[in-house]
Amino acid sequence: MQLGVRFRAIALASVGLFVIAACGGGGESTNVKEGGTLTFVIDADAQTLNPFEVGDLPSARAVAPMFPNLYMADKNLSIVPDLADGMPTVSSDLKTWTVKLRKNAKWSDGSAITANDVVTTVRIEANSKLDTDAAFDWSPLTDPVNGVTAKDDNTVVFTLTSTFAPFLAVNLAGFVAPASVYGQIDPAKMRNDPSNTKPTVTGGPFLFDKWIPGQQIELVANPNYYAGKPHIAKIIEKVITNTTAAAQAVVNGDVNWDPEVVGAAVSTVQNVPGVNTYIYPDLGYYDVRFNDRPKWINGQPSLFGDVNVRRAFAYALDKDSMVKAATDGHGTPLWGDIVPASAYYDESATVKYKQDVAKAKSLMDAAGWTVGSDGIRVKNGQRFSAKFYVRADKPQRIKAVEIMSEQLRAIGMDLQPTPTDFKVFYKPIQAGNFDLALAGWGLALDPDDYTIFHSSFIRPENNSSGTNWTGYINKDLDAAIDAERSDLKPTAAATFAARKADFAKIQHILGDDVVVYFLWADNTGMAFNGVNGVVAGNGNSLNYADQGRNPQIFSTWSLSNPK
Amino acid sequence: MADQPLKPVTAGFQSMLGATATAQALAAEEALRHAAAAEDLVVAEVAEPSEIGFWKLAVIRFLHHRIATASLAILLFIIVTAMIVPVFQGNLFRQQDYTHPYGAPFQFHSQQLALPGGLSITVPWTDHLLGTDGLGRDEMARLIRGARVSLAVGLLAMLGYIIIGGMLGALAGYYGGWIDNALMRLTDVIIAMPFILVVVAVTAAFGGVSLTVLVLVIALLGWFEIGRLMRAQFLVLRESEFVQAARALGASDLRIIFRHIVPNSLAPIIVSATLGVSGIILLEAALGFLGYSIPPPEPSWGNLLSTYQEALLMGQVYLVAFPAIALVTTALCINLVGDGIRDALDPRQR
Amino acid sequence: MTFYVIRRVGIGALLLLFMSVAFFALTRLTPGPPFTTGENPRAHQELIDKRIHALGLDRPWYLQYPAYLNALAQGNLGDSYVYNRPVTELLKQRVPNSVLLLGTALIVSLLIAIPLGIFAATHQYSKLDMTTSVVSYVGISVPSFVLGIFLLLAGGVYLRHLTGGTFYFPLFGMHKGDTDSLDDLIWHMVLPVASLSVLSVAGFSRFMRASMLEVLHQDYVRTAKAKGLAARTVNYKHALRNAILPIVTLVALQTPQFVSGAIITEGIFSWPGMGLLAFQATVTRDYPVILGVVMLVAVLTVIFNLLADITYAIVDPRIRY
Repeated sequence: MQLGVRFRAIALASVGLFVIAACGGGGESTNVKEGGTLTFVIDADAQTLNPFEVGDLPSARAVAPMFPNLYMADKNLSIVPDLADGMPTVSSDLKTWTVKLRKNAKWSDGSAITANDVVTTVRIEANSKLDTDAAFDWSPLTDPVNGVTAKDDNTVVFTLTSTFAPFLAVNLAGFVAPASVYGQIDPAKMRNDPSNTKPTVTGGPFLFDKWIPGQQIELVANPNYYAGKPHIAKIIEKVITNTTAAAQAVVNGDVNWDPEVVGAAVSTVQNVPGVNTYIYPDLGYYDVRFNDRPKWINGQPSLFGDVNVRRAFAYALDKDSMVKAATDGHGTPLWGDIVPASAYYDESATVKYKQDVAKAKSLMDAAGWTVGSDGIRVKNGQRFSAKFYVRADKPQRIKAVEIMSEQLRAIGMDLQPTPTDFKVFYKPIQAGNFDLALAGWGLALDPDDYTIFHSSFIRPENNSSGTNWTGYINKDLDAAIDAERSDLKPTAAATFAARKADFAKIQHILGDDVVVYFLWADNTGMAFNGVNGVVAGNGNSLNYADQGRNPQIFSTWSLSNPK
Repeated sequence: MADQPLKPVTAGFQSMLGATATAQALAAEEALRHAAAAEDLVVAEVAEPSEIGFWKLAVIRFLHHRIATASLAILLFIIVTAMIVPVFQGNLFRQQDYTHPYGAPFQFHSQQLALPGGLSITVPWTDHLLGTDGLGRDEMARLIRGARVSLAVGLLAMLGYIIIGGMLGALAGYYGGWIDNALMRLTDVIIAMPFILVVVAVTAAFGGVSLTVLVLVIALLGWFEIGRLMRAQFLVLRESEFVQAARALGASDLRIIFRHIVPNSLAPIIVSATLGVSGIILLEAALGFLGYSIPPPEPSWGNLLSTYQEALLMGQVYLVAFPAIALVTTALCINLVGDGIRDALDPRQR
Repeated sequence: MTFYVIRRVGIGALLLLFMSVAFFALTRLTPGPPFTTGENPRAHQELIDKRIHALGLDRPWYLQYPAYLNALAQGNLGDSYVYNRPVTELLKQRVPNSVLLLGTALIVSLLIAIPLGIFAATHQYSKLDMTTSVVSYVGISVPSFVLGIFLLLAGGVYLRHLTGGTFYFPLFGMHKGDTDSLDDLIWHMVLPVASLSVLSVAGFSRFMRASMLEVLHQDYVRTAKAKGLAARTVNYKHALRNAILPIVTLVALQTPQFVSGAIITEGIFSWPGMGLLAFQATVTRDYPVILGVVMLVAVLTVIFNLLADITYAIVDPRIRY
């Protein structure tokens, strides 16, 4: 299931480093024209067209128009039915979920899309033998096979071991693939199956036509699409590795859509006639991850194990101006891990630190760090000197690290920016032998942060594949995260309210103890040229239009000048 | 002649990144000239005009070459500036004013300047002659400081070429036989070496790019041109009459090599080395473009160029233009100086 | 002679074997695993470890090598870790694109550089000779990426502004939309070929000039002139033939390097060639793809070296074999 994880295997940023975007008022005509070819940009070639194997962004974008989702995100990122017929019903013990399917939906070979397809898809994803880089997590089911069953042709039943609130957004908002094709493949051999380059039977608004490797993927409209025949006749997914050229291509009219215009470049072409640009905060975010343990795993005393030192770090910085400079004004400063694009965002729950260098210095004094002869603080013979790890292929992040390291010198911290090859970057961090690193995180539609902050995910001590690098242990935080996950109420509104309160508690703990220092969420640009029917949601958001979060959009868009 | 024919030095590894494919052609051209020119030098030696006379004459000839002399002057100016100015500027290159980024270049304002005796005059003044970068740092200070890295990489890596290539080339050329064969085959391996892969490997192994890493990688993969040139010189010179004579008189190998052959083989090495430095500087910039450059806040021309490529479309063309101009000027001057040296050392070839 | 050729071929084969060991070790010893959980919160280290084990990557490199060599001998380069397709298939898709781009650039630059070099040599110290010299010195001092970016901006952006949006060069790829017509392809090649050629023209014309001058100073040319042959006949009939051999050799020997030389140009112009593929593979530690490209380059290097040596042996009787 495409969980919206912004994990990119290919980091080619260093070759095609520049990005531009466009914005402006393009007139939208009300009468919808039929036909034409929509060309959109993917910044690297897709790695696979098999949805079970998709682990990278270009592939996610390439596959998106071809497969239906069970549920999908609407323009406000609320979960709405796609292939499902209405919202799921939950049993009185809140552990059994029942999903009804549309009756009219058909695969491209003419056969009906049934409960068996959903069950097969889930069972493949839940199969521990499945060889994939994609991240499916069906552990909430009682059993990877019997936990999901077809009651009849149009009804699927999921049985869970406990109440699990993120189930709808995390597990049910994924793709459905035809059992007739993927059910025949041995999950252990899925990675190398010939269908990866050539999906035969699909059910989305567009069907596979051909793939010219390294250049483009061509799709044609699915006349029998269950949500209505698409207006556009053909889609070309064009590989443009140079992001400047990609954005300029939208301005030139050579392509119709660039789904990801990031950074300094967004402002460059914002007032180009005929080009519509939407800019909105992304679901992912960046933070400074401290080693919160008193000692590294190898025994070296940790610099940021003391909460006073972390608070001093926070007081020494002016986040707003720093983020503005690092992102050239295209980032939204954050004080918590719930991003503004999320419905769970609650600014009042966060703990903010206003820049106060004097206070930062006194906190450092209180922590026992005294200023040495060279201006850098010392305690028990240890200099306050650390490597500040950052990925070498991310210019914005490096800029932020440069600013922080200069600012923190003023309170006696010597933090050396250390841009590191991304394959090596994780090594000291995952081993728990580091002081601080700038990391980027993606969020799924649900803001569940279990894997990032719960102590059971602390690596390496508690979990060999955990992504909680901080080593921070706090029973209250664990309890709040457990509550956020289990707070499923009989009504959606009650669930939302309960969880929002849980998330507020989490935000408060994270901020008060400066478990990590949150930085910003990207203001992503999405640029269109000659595309009608694009609808933005709350905060101008088009998050739902990307990465397969809503396959139906492709059938509603049309071209203003179909050739 | 040994069974290895003299052939144009395979233009090599700097072309890996397409940065300097053609500088290599020049180096090859060099080899071609000197394959023949070396014989002339032998004659010169046998006729025994004093060595001092030869070098003195060369200096005079070089100074008569106006373009080369001017280039050398510019180059010296750049080097001296890069060495001295940062000492006075101290931390200016890293001082940020990040709330006021992208200061435009050449912005002058009037400034009251106090003169001794209570007088004051108003002069045009600028705080940041070449503007400031995305974090509000003085671009000129960064440019000058960046020259240090570029020049240091260029000169140190070339030193590496001369040490490795010179030694191996001399051994191969002097002793011939299997040593020679082994060296030539090693050269083939080095030429086929995937340069960027080695950069990634060494960078990852050292935990990041540093001056050491850059110099190490470039020197280890680039020495073979000098090596081949040195070998060619030795091949010819060891058969020459004066070496035969020295040998007959019972001189040791070491004495023959250092007293008789090395001094006579220097000319083409000097020319090739000079031209090679510009190639290395361009290579450092190309690596910066691919994201393999000295870590911040230390600037190099390579990372200055790569960091602000996107600025090109944002109206901050100067952030790319200044390092590009500095880079091209330096490389051009080095090449012209190299050309001048060649003419000075080898007047026959003009 | 036959023995010499056989010996050289034998040495070439040994050399390739040695290179395969060296490059294999280099990939395996590069720090950083090909697979990592990274920032993906739902990735499982166990699955990754399982895959690493299945591929044998948890063993020392010298124990992995025999299996690689065995497969290599059968023409099997393995499957890409990223694309999960045979490397031979990826090479078949990408190599022709690179050959097209680089080959065109090479031909274009030779067509310009050779006549330019000849003219400069036969008209030594003329204005054109001086101009060529100056221009080529500037040419070799400009890094290709600076030139590439500049051409991208000039040809794709500024030109479009100047002409009011009616005329500009394509900025990316090989084709517009789903057309695959020849003129569209040529149109897309203009900028990348230009950015590759400018530098080569500078270098090749310098080389050609030197080579031609060398020959013009040879005794037999002087003799021919002394005997009263027309300068034109001497220059173009006798001298040119001998002057062109070194440049042909140079081109032959340089060819393997063009592949990697293309990394930056292919990146800037989104050209789907093997330079870009190799760079991505290096960054992602896609060992089979890296080795595939690198061994292809190695084979080319060895073959071209061999051809150059044999040609020389045939042409130059002084060479003992």
